[in-house]
Amino acid sequence: SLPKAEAALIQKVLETNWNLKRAASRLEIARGTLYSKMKKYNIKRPAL
Amino acid sequence: MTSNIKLLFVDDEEAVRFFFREGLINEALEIETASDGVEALKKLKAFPADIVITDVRMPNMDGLTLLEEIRMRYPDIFVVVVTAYGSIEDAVKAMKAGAYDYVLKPFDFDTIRRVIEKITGHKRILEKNIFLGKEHRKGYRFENIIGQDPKMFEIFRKIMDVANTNATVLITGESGTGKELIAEAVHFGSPRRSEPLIKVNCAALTETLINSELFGHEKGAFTGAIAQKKGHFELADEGSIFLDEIGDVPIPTQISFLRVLELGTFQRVGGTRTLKVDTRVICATNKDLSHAVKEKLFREDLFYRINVVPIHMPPLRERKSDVPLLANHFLRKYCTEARKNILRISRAAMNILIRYDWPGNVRELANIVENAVIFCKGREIIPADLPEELKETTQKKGFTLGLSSISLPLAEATMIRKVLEETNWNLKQAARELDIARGTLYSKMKKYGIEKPHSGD
Repeated sequence: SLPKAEAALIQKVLETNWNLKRAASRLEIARGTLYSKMKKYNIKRPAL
Repeated sequence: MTSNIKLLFVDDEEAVRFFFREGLINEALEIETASDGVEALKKLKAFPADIVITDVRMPNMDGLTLLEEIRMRYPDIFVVVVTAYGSIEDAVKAMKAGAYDYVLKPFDFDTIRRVIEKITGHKRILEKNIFLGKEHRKGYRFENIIGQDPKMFEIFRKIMDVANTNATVLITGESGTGKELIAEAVHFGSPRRSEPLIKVNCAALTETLINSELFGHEKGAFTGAIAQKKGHFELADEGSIFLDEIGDVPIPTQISFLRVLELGTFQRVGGTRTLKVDTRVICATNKDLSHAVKEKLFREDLFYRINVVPIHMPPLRERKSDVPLLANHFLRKYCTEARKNILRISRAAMNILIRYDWPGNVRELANIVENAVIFCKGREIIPADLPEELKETTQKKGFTLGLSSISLPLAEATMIRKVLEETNWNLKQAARELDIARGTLYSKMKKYGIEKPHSGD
């Protein structure tokens, strides 16, 4: 499943310690794109 | 050549369609044509084709997708695919997906005629009520054995060839493949059809009982033998005896078997009189008897004596194109028994059945469909009606992606390309595997510049 793979990859890269700027850079996508994909796949930073 | 055969020819080139129709105009064929898979499916709603001959590479819907659709909707239609030289992988893929045969481009009409003749012969066996043993009260016919796969067709031919002889037959195959049905077809197709077919499960007989069961015993032969008893061989005199699980017969009994097979003579347990019978012997086993011979578990001379005409029943996983046919047969059978009115097996449920490997073969499929019929609440069997373990084992398999960086676009493009290659660029199937809409797949292919490699046809 492409959506599952995309969500898994984003989650993995975010776990850059949830630094969105660095994560977007590593994933080679715009930060806005990363935001919208996190929203789409409901990826949230775990509560501290 | 043939009569009343309805043929649908599918090719995107108008000239090819014209020449095809012209080339076969003198044959007793009813020919319709279509320019692609979508038009072909529309035509099939009104034109009950017996045979569909389709090109593989076509716009809108390619031949392989059309083949899948036909196997799903019209499992009785014989599909032949036309592939170009150099794209033999298309032919392999088509055969795996249930095509009856393939022809290579540029085809000549002699080849096409031969294929149609072959299919017509197969249809005749399947449909023209060839009774194997008309006099028998069961009205045994080939329809009792369901299969459209070429492997099954070869078995039907072999049965027809061997049934009228007295030759000993050894039926091999995994458990649940239908070996007993083949034994019945051989017996009821033979001149002995009005005489009994005695079935013996050798695995169910203990070593102490097997001689008495097979050859009978005299009164007082052993404790409890209060009367004379005829054995299975005697009961099968002038008929046939079916020895199932012959590989489980102990060595001492194998020697007695050899004597019956060679001379037709034996003695009852506790008796001194030699009896003679005229019995046709049909054996079956799910074991590798040649291996058992090497291991000294089965007598070599007996093996050669029973292996006169070997018939191997393929496991269901090797004839998956028969799964829809069998599943629909069992659906009708068990709906009648349970007095339920279930119209069909849904596409999603059928996909699960097709993907499963059926270790228990046809018997397992029958059990699964019977179970689904019992628990089905609606008008069609859906995945929820199937056992969980069946769905779990058929779930899409995972895979590993190798990436030079963790870039999301790179991962996406790599994954799309990999799945397209694995599905032989069948966009519908690839989109389904990737869990995205076909339109989304098109736009992503465009975005990443992914194109099918030119194959030269």
